[in-house]
Amino acid sequence: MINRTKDLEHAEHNFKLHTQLLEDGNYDDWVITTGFYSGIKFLQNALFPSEYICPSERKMKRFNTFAEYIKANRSLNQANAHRILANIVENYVDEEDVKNSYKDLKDVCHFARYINYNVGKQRLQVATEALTVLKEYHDKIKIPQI
Amino acid sequence: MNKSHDIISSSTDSEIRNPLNFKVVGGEFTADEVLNAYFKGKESVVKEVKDLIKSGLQLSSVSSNYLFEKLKNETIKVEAMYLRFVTPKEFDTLVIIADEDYYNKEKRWNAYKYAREINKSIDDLSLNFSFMPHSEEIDNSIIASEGFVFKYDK
Repeated sequence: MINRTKDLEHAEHNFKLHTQLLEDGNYDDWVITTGFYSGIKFLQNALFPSEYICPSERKMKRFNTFAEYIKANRSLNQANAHRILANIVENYVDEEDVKNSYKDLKDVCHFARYINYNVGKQRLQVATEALTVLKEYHDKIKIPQI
Repeated sequence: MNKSHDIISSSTDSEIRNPLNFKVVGGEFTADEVLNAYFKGKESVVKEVKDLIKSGLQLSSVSSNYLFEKLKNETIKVEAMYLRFVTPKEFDTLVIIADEDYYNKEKRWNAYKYAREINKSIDDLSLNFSFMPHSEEIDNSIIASEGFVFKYDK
């Protein structure tokens, strides 16, 4: 049975809105934004609980949630959640397509403001393909296969 | 004018003002303003921080130049690059790629691969490469306002 965590519920909540906005077709910038915030929640749920190097203690330690890991980083005054997740993905995820898709989604979302959110269909496609990869990665890890 | 401003504004600080092949851009936020904002309240450690930023800017700009050449050799056209520092040991380079190359997934992911290879060769400094497609709608003032005040200029 799948473990219904808060991160998973948040991921699915954002994914539902992302899907509705995608179907609507008139809010491409918000499709990308909701897709990003769905994708990072799927990733956070996929990557926790697990063991990572505790930044303050400099040794492997089990963290139950991403929030716990953020708290450990905060003790070193490094609390930018996006940067911390990016570092985890780069250093602990083996699958190149997952790392690249996360980077696709993060960059497309973060830099939409540099083009006044006129994202266009090509950027939208990059984002939706990336989210699909991240969600499949999550499901492969977290959903029991029959 | 405070001491920090004097230090940052000094004409001898060529390393801060001129990282390799990058020039200062952005009308609303100058490099001095960004640096001064960072140094405000930290005068007691200003020299140490300043030295860290100077060396970090040099290493980041050299590494960004290397990525530029690598992408060029792989026929991935770089339209522009911007550099900023986030902390004295954390720097960001924004690489703007020609649309046709960015939207070619193989080329875009190859660019990520080359960026990772450069990252692995750097110790004691975090340099994050980010990528976006070139667009006529790019608002350079927004880019500068987020701290990317050094623009690649070769």
